[in-house]
Amino acid sequence: VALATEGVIAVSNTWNITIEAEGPRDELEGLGDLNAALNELLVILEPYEPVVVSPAPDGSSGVARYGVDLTLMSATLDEAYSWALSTFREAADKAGLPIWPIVRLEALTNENLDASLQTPTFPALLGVAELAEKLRVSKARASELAHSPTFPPPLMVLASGPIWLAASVTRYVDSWDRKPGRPTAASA
Amino acid sequence: LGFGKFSTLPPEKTWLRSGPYPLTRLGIRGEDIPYNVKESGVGRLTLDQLERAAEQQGWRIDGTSDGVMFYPPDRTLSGVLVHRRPTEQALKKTLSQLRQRGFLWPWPPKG
Repeated sequence: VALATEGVIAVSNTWNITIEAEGPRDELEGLGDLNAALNELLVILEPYEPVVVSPAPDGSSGVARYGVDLTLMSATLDEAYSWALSTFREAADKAGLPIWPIVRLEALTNENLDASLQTPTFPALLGVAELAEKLRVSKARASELAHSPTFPPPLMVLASGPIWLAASVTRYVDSWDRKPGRPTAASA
Repeated sequence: LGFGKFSTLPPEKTWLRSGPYPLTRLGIRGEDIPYNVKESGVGRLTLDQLERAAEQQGWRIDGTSDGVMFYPPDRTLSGVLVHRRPTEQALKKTLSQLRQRGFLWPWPPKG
């Protein structure tokens, strides 16, 4: 920032570029030690704070992928893509990896990377006890309600009981036309 | 230092503004970047924490000569290799790659 303020460099964005290449899995067999080649790629690209994506151990389709996540600064996204691609290809060649067609190219700013890390990957879940608490009824009544046709289906049913997505139950509760008093036999 | 407008820079300095470059080229590494824990939501992440959580979630951890490889429980998914002394930026990208393969973080999930 200080250098940019003094006019030494153009104001740039930090880009996190993900690149993945895909090709025939059998081309990797001729490499000998694949992990050593991937390690070499990691070392060559070290100034770009790399994360290397290695091919899956098992692949049923006969194709494999490898790739990198690089961080670099650039004034424009086009320039960042172009630089990252040529750097990746050159480094892969030096590491002895096959040069395959690119099948994934993606850029994230640091702000977007941070935001993506804040997004939960695992949903909030409810069991019968939590469901009863949320509905403010007994566990028996909660189980009864859960069997009504309008109640959202459980995400899965374990031996210990069903589990629901909290969000789907919340939506149900919001639209639940709750009647005061004990339920009649017909409504149950 | 004599730094002024771009046009006054000697030709050999033009790489500073002629194209993309890694942060490390300016002597800036991930650990030097002020990092707002509250904003990022990631917290002070360490490779040890990621390794422990990954093993508890059924991942396989292997070492290479310079890095640590994370293999997901699903063997049809690709592995993720990071330097064994990663910058904070590299750790964040590692976490992002792990999450794309089903890794749960924060770990253990809050009830």
